[in-house]
Amino acid sequence: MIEINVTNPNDSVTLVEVSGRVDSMNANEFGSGLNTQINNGRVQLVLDLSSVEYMSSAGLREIVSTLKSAKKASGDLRLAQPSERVREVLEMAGLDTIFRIYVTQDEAINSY
Amino acid sequence: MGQFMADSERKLRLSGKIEQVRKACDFIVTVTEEAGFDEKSVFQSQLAVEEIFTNIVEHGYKHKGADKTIDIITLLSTDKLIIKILDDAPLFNPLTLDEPDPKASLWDRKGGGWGVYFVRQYMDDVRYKLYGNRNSIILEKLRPKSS
Repeated sequence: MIEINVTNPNDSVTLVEVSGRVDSMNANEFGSGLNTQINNGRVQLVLDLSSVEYMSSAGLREIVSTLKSAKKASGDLRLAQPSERVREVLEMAGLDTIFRIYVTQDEAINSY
Repeated sequence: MGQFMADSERKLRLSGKIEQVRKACDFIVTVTEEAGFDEKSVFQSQLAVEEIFTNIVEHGYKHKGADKTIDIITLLSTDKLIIKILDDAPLFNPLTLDEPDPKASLWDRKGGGWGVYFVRQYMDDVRYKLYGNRNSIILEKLRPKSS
């Protein structure tokens, strides 16, 4: 139900593309996928949310946790092209002012 | 554990484990779509039910609810959809908890409470009520005027 694809578009940035729905059933798997990158020393992350049609508070908890871990390691987690519904969830939780959110994947990657 | 329909009332009984959360969401998607809600309201309704269901499994049943039940009852009237979610966990009203602050900084943010926060934001009314010895959360979503 959730697919996580990780690539390295350049030497420093790691792109994590997720598709499916992120809910309380699979949020742990989603968070583990993100945290694995940080544990591997890849701390400049871009999370592409264009194929995530649904995300509840369980998913938000994971991205906030990952953002904290990335920042502690002098990195960042930046978001790219969230769907309208996911963007609303982010805004409702006030996370649109905490995350850097980009309209395109390239903008997010090139922001580092 | 199945689903039945009688007039405008439907009921789904699920066991209290997290693997059932998608059945709860699918049920609400079906009910709201058939009631003529738009895509945004369908999303908000299923998210609200997921949050309540998850709270019951994680906090009410403490992940030991496989042999316990969560009932979801929907009542559709001309102007609104009522969703009742009932459980057998120790009596507790989650609506009494302090709400998290969406304006808090990254480092000051509370980890919990966001589920109920979304429920309040996305539904038109949210209430807690005792049904005998059962907890119940009652959600209301107003129907689109054109329906």
